[in-house]
Amino acid sequence: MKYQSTLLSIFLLICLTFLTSCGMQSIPTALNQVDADWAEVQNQYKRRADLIPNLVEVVKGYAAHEKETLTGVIEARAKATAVNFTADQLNEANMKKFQEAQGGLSSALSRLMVTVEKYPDLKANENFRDLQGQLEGTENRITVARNRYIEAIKNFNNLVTVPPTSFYNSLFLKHEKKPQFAVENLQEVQSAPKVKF
Amino acid sequence: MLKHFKNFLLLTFLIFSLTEKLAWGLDVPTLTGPVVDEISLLSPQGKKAIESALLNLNSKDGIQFQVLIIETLNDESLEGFSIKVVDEWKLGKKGEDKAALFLISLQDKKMRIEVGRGLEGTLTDLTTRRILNEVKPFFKNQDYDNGIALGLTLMAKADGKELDFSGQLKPRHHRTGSSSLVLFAIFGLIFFLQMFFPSGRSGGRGGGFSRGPYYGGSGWSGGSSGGGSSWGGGGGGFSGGGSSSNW
Repeated sequence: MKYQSTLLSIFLLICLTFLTSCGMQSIPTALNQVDADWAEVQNQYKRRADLIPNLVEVVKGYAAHEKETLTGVIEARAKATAVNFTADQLNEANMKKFQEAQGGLSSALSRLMVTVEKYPDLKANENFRDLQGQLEGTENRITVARNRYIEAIKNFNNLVTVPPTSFYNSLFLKHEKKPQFAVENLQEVQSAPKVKF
Repeated sequence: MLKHFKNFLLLTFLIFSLTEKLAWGLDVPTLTGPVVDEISLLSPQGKKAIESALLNLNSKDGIQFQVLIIETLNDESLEGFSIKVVDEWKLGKKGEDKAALFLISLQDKKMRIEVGRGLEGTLTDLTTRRILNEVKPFFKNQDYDNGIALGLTLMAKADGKELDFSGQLKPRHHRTGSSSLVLFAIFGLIFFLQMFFPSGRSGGRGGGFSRGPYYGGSGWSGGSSGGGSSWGGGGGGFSGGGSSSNW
């Protein structure tokens, strides 16, 4: 105990001299950034989910008998919107759940877009093209939000694991490293459905 | 011994510069003005007219439109490069984020309008897609001056603004007297400081967290500083809004 308090006072002394470099400011700031960037990731995924009912409606009008694909999309959407985590709930397992749910929706959507190829009338429909453009834009926003989240996590993890800020963290804050978008899903992330025609 | 050390230094330097290159892909050009035309695609008069229109729009309505024309993307994705550019240039004022980038890659025949957060409400993905569709025929006819001018006009119109392409720069020597002298000195000082403490990439890889404002406030100064008017970003944020197309 004595040993630890000496350590503390030494550390505080160092902190006073290098106030900004000890982590007192940078770690909470980085944490806030992680929260904000995660909120943006969810926001953009929600944006995508919000587009889907309209898309399904329009496709139904032209390709009603593609029932299987359409229900696939609706079910995947329901699953994806049900999986919600705040940034501090994100551990490895939850992250995996989130990515699986969203990945499921991505692949259901790409199946739908392949199906649509068979319906030239639908493809020519102005309404459908608009939705397609919006979906394309949303996929891009998701990519951007995800990349920024990855950056924020990288920054945060560096602060809590790399000295000198890690000393401050292990003594006072005791934050753990946060999970990154998992590597085994990298394939999936990179081959995100391109909704392009 | 010394020689070994030298070799070692050289090697590390090489490796570092290589990885830097790999990590960054295409370099983001320097922001020199409202139109950054790396291949002189635009006619001199066209460029001048567009630049003055964009300068006016910025000073009048606080909206920063930017044109960037590059030769090729070198297999980099259009969207990836575009967001890299706006992340570095930080177009628009911080907090307002009223800015947009019109990016054109000639050889790839690809273009994109990247919309800042503050304009996403009016310049939606849909609107930008339609604008690009209008621009397409001009680019097909290799009429880039008018194509770009039309694109920018429609972009401004979507936000209820107008662009004036009369090519008339605001009269430079309109404001004379002591106040303009003081302004000149201040802008001169800012320019001087920026030259020696450049924002952006100076931190190298260390500055990987790319969104923090490097300097607050609006970064670009008006036309009053003769010749040295600097056009730059003010910390505006983008989140991937906009639309891409080819022609």
